[in-house]
Amino acid sequence: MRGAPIAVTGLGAVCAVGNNIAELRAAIAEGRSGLGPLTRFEPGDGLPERPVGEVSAAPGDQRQGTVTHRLAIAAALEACQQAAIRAPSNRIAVVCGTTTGGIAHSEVWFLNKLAFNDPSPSLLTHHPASTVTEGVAKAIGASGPRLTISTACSSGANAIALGADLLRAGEADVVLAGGADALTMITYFGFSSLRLLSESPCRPFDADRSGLNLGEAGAFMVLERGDDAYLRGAEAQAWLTGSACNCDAHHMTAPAPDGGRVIACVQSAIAAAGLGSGDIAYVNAHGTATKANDVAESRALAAVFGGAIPPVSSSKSFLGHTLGAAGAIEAVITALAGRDGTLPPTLNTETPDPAAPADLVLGHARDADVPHALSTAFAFGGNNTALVFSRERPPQAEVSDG
Amino acid sequence: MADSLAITGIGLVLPQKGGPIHFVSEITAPERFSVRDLRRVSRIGQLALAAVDQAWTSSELVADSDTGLVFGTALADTHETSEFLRGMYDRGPKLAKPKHFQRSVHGAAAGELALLYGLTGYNLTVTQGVHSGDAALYAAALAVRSGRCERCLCVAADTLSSPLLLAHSVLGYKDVPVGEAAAAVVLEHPKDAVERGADILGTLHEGDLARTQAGPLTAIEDVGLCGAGGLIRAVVAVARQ
Repeated sequence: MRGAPIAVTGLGAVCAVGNNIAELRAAIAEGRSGLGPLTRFEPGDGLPERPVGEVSAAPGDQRQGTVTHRLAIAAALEACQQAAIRAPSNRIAVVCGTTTGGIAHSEVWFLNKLAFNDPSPSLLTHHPASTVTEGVAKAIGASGPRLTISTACSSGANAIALGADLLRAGEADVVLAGGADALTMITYFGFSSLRLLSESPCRPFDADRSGLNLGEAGAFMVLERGDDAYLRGAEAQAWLTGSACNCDAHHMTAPAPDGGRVIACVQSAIAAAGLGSGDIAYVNAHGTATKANDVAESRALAAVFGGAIPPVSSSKSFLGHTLGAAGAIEAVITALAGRDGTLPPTLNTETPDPAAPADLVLGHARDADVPHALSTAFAFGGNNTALVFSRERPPQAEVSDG
Repeated sequence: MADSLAITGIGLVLPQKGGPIHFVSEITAPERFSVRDLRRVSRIGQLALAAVDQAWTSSELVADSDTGLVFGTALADTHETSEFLRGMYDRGPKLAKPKHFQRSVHGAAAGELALLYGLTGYNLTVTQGVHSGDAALYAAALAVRSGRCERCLCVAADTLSSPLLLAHSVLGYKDVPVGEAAAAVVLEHPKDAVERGADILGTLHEGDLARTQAGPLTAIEDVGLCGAGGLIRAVVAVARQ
C-alpha cells in the first residue's frame, strides 16, 4: 500500500547521557557512556553489582507519576517544542511504548504488603501502562487517539510505526510517538534471573561479550504527513520512509538462531521505503550484547546485506538496554545520524565476534553521508521491528508493508 | 479509516455469574494442542487461547505470515507479576523464578499464541486500561486497512489475581464488579474473505470503532470491570446478528 510520506518534525530524549537531544548528541560525539553503578534501589543480596544506564536527575516531579512517566513527559515536551506543533487538540494522537508503565511504584506497594506494612494506595494509581500515555497526552494537550504499545523491548519502535499508520489512515494530523521505561526491581531482577545481565559495561558484537546492561530513557518523535509539515513550514529532522513488524514464533525469550524472521522484517521495511539493501548507509542495531541476540542479528544482517554490509553500531553501550524506550531512542539516534552525517559508535567492544558485521563503528563517532538508515528492535515473544529513516523527502510516495 | 471490514471468526470466554467477582472457573483447552504445550502457557494466555481457538476454527484460518495478531490487555497477568515479586521477597532476588518474569510482560500472551499457532506475521500488544479491548480492535482494524497483514486475529484478555483484588479494594473499588474474560475476532477485507471462502459473520464499520479515549470506569453486565470489555461487546453484537 502506498501512502503519504511521514516527516519527523520534532525529537526529544532523556537518558543516562543527558536530559535532552543536545546532551545526547554531545555524549555520542565524545564517546561518553552513561553506564554506571545502580543507585535507584539495592542491587540484591548475593548478587554482583551490574552497571546500569540510570538517569541521575529525572526531570519533572512526583506529581507526574513514576520515573517512567517523568521521562516520557520530558521527552515528549522537548519533541513538541522543536516541532512547534499546530493542530487542534483532538487531531493530535499519542502512541507510547512501555513495558512496565508505573510498576516502579506498585512493586514497592506489593513488597510492603508482603512485609505487613501499610503502604499508601497512591502507589497504585499509576500502575497501568496506559497512564504513561495519558500523562503525555495531558502534558502536551492532546485529546486525539491514544494507544499504548507493550511489545516489550520493541515497544518504542512499534509505537513509531503505528504512529505513521494513524497519519496515513487520516486518524490524526500530528502523532507524538515514542517510548519510555525506568529502571524497576522487577525488570532488573527479572533479567538477572534469566542470567542476561553483564557485570561490566556491555560489549555489543564482541567475541567475549557477557550480556546486557539495563537502562532507562524516554524518547519521542513528532510525526506529520509530509504535505502538512511543508504547508506549515515545519522543518523535517528526518523522514520515516519504511517500517515492518513480524514475529519469530520460535521461543518466548530467545531469538531464532538463524534470524529468519528478522531477515524478512528488515527486507520488508527497506522495500516499504522503496529502497534496496544497497541504499542503506548505516544500521543502528538492536545489539544487546547477549550471546543469542548478537549472533542472530549478525546472521540476519549478513543475509540482508551480503558482502556490502553498511556500518553498524549499537547504542546500548551508551545507554544500556532501555526496554520499552529502546526502539524509540535508537530511532532518534538513527534519525540524528542522517541529519548530522555522523555515525554513532559502539563503545567497549575490542575484539569483534568473527560473525559480527564487518564494518562495526567502534570507539569513536565517524563522519559519513547517510541518506538512508535502518534501526532494528527485537523483543520477548519473538517480536521483530525495523524502521527506515531517510534524510530527504522521498521522491515518490512511500510504501507501507507488513 | 473508511473501509468496512468483515468479521469471519469470533470467540468468547466469559466468567461465572454471581457476586461482585467474576472468575472463569474452568478454561476449555483446545484439543489441537497437547497438555505439554498448554502447561507452558500463562493463565492469561490460556484464557486468550480458548477464545482464539473458537475464532480460528470459525474463520478456518491456517498458520501463515499473512495473518496478523493484535492482543489487548489492561494489566497483563498480575498473578505472574506478583509471583515473581513474592519469590524475590521470600527467597531473595537471586532465586526469583524467571518463568514468572517472562510471563509478566504484557506481550507474553501474544508470544504464546504466535508460538502455538505458528503466526509469524504482524504482531502487536496494546494496553489501554479498561479500553484495552477497544484499543485492540482499533489497532487490528488499522493493521488490516494499512496493509500490515491480510487478516488479523484480534484478541483481548484479562485475568484476576489475589493481589489485583486487594489493589482493587484498597483503591476503593470494592463495590465495583470486576471480572476476567477473553474475546477474539478475525478481521479481513470482505473481498478477501469471499475469495478464500470464509463465512462473513458480521461487519465492522468505521463508526463502530472506539477512539480509546480515557473515560469513566464501566463494568459490563455478567463480566464486571475487565480490560477485554470492548471486544466482548463486539463479539456479543456479532453473535446476536
